[in-house]
Amino acid sequence: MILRADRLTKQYRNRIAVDRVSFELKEGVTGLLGANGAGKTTLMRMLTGVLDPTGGEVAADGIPVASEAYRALLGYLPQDFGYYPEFTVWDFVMYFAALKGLDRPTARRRTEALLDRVGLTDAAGRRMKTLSGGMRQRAGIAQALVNDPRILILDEPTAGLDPGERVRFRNLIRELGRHSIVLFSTHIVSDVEHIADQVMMMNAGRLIWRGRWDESDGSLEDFYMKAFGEDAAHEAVFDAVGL
Amino acid sequence: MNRALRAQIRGAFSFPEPKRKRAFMQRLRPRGIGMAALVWTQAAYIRRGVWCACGVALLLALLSARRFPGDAARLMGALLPFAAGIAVLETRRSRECRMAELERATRFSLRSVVFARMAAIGIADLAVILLSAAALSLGSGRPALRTAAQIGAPYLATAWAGLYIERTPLGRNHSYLSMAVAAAVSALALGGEAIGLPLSALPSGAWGAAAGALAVLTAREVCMTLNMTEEWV
Repeated sequence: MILRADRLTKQYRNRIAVDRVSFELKEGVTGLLGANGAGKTTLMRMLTGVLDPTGGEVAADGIPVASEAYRALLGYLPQDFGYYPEFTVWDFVMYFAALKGLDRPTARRRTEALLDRVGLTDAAGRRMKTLSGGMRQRAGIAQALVNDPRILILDEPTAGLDPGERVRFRNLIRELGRHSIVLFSTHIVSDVEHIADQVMMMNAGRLIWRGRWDESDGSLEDFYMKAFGEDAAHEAVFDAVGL
Repeated sequence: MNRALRAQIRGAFSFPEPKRKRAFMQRLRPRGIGMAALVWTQAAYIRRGVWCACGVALLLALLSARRFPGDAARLMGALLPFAAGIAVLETRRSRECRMAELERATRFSLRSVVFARMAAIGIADLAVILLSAAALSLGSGRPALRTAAQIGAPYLATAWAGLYIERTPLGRNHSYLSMAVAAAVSALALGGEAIGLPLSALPSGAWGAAAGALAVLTAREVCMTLNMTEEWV
């Protein structure tokens, strides 16, 4: 499968959030790096069909982003998401399984397996509002994976996870990348270094660099600091230590 | 092949590991799902309070039809606006609970999800109105259609005004305005006669015309609300 973004643009009145971004993604993990306000979230929301672009197109194997067929292929974890207050973790994942068109027995089976995979089996009956930030994030990851998506878009998925959870999550993403197109955004350069097959960097709404990053290319962190300046580097450090 | 032999073969040879099974499964076309299935799914996730309001309204209709047959239609006309207010509150849940973004990225559009939710509640409320009208007309001896129009009009007036207000900045920032509308319509239905509105003396045709006009206005408001759902994200 090929996910193709062609001259994707989003303009808000006098500000261009994403400026003619084009790329093609195949199965594998792609890390999207960029400072705050670089346009990462806007780009991801357009790739999921949540936000309509001002210009340009998104399609997966020719299936346009606005179609039900595209959304059937999609798993999405936004940066910040809510939940219905009466939902337990189980209800939360089952609800999205239903909205993604899974029949009830399949939904139960997938929910059970995914809650086990993200370490929430014991918390399945707990209400979402009683969970810690990290547990809530894991529930969000479970809902994104419930339909076994071929395109997985994760906006800051490791935010709020403790170091152990982050390592576990990295392994999960790496495994998913073998069968699916995984695009994840982060400030944490080491996450990208560990799991991404390729890296995309955004600055001021533009894609400034895209490609594979090998150890022979030097430190990605150094490159990132040069590309985005000291502020972005500070942000990355603060994010990494959870501040 | 007998069962014992089959078991022996199964014990002696392990199943081959699936090759590219997952890739194959991912390529399968997802099963089609109709709107009726989506309405049914959403009905399971609607707050219990909504169904309780329907149940209480129906119960009170049955009780009042027996105890106050003359006034029962007026009482129901005053009660049902609250069911409408609760229904309007339910339409804003995705936005209020910040679920709109996740729901929009699923197979169904957010518009379909909100429509399914409105349809589930609308069907339940319509059933309550029709069953109540049947019970009340049996008690009072008035035509069932007139009773349905008389108790349905305040419901529709609340739904129309509530949905309209929900679309305004004021309504978006104040969750319970639809309940305030419900209270106002309820007070009018209950005390209209006291301020000189000849509600009970209105002919059946006038009630029917009022209910019809309000149904059209409510349907228009539903469409406009659905068109706005994409802006919730």
